[in-house]
Amino acid sequence: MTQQPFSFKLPIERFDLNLLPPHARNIGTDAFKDAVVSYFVGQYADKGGTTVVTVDDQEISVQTFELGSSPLEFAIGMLKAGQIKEAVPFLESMAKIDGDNVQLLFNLGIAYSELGQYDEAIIRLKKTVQLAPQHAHAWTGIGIAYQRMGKSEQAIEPMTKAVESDPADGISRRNLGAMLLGFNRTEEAIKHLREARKALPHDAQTIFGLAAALEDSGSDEELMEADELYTVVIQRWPASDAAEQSRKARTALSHKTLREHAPSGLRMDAVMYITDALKIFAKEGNTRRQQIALEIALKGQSGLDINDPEPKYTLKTLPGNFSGLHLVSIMYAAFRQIDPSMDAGIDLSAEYQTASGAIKK
Amino acid sequence: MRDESLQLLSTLQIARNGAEFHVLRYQPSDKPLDYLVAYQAGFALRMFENPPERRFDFVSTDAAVTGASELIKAGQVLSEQDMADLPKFAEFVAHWALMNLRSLPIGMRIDQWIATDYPELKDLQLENHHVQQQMNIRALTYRQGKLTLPVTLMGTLAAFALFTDKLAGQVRYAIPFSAAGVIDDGKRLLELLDSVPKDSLHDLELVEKWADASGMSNWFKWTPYLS
Repeated sequence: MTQQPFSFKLPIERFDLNLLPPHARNIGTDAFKDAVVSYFVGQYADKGGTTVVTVDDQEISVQTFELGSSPLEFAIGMLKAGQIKEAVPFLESMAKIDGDNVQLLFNLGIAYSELGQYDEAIIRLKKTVQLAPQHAHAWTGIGIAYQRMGKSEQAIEPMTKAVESDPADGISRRNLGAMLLGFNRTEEAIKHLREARKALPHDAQTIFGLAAALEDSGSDEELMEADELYTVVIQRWPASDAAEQSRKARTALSHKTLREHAPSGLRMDAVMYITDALKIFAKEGNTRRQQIALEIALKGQSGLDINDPEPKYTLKTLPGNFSGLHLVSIMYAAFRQIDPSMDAGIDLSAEYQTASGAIKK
Repeated sequence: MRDESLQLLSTLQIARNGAEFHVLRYQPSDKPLDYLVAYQAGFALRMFENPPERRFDFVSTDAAVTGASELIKAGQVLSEQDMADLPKFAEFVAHWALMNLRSLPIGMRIDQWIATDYPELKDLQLENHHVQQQMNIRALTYRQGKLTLPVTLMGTLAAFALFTDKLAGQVRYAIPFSAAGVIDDGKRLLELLDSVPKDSLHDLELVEKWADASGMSNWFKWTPYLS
């Protein structure tokens, strides 16, 4: 016989009211809902296994599980598949008969948090830690729910408890680190994020968070480490959100360093590169200009090191070796000519103005 | 033939008008096809067990859509949009009800034959029935606006749920049909199944008796099968 769960839905108006006791035949009332639940639980009771029934104002949902299969695991599977809204009534129904089940309460709390029902989430998660004080992820869940409610200060305590409950848990460390960073408690954040990285060496968000904290810290050594970590994220998870954020962070970091190395406010090397580029574009034409700009833009997707003067890059569309700043300057000049609103990721407008002024003369 | 667009688990198109092959289509699955092939082959075997003059095709009549439309509208105040959607919905309901009428009673004969003569296919049979029952049960919730599948046409599905439960030695799939108040229709159809001789010579009679009991007698006609 098949062990697969059997599930079905029934619009409440389809339910045969003759099957219910007279006092429960008023559709939508609590008596109706309770009687419907009892009916299906009773019908499946002698089959062994478990039956989970939920009744809302429109539909009856029934889920039956054979002996030996776990309704909770099934509901967790629904959560993992993103069917959060559908899973909550099942979890609630199970909670009515197994209200002290830690795993059940935890998953219900997280589900409510994902649905934006933070009060409901916090109630379930607090009950979870009441029953299992060392449940690090439940403490973290409480913290995240407070954070999502905009009560970040209240989030720190549960997140700290999460780390105390399980110091080796990377997720708890990562979340606390990110939270502390938001409160400019950078040194503490770095400490937790370094521990998180040890536990989660393959987690892009952790590495990105650590890089951001190090960048925030501001010393030369830490800025260098931050830049290295951003590069790691871009190379290992090129299509991730963390990589996209890392690219922006690297560009901003490079820009900041670039300007710090131009006390007069103008990078004369960039002026020179832009001047040369404008001359090449005038000579070679618009099509060639676009080809060059496109090649540099593609190369720049993995990050161009504009603070290293070493001419370590080459192009197929232009002969010679180029530094990162050189390539970015050429691209900037091309973008300004093609469409001034295009974002080259760096502001060389002063250098461009100076260069184009010099050419006109 | 594998067919990813197929809405059913499998279908069989009997060769006709000079075609050389019967065509069996099936939904892609990671499970062995043995049961589905046996089940569909059963339809072909039962048809060709009949002498040529008793082989017929099942063809819908205009009364099917009209009848379906009446059943859908019965006792309802429909909006303008529902009324605009009604013709297509009625067409769909008529097709769905006739497909159940044509395939389920004879399919039960075939399933009984498989269960008796090929017990090694029992597990696959029950797995396929489980999937089929999960699909059938959606009929209870299917709707477009206020248009729903008429309860009076659910008897065939209720009968099949009762049949599967009996085959599996359980009571599981029939419960939702009990809750929807259509299980008695299903029981009546199963009684008819038992009242008609089981050989293929009586397959047409079986379908006609089910049609009578479901109010669908004039929804179809038999036309001679042309090989």
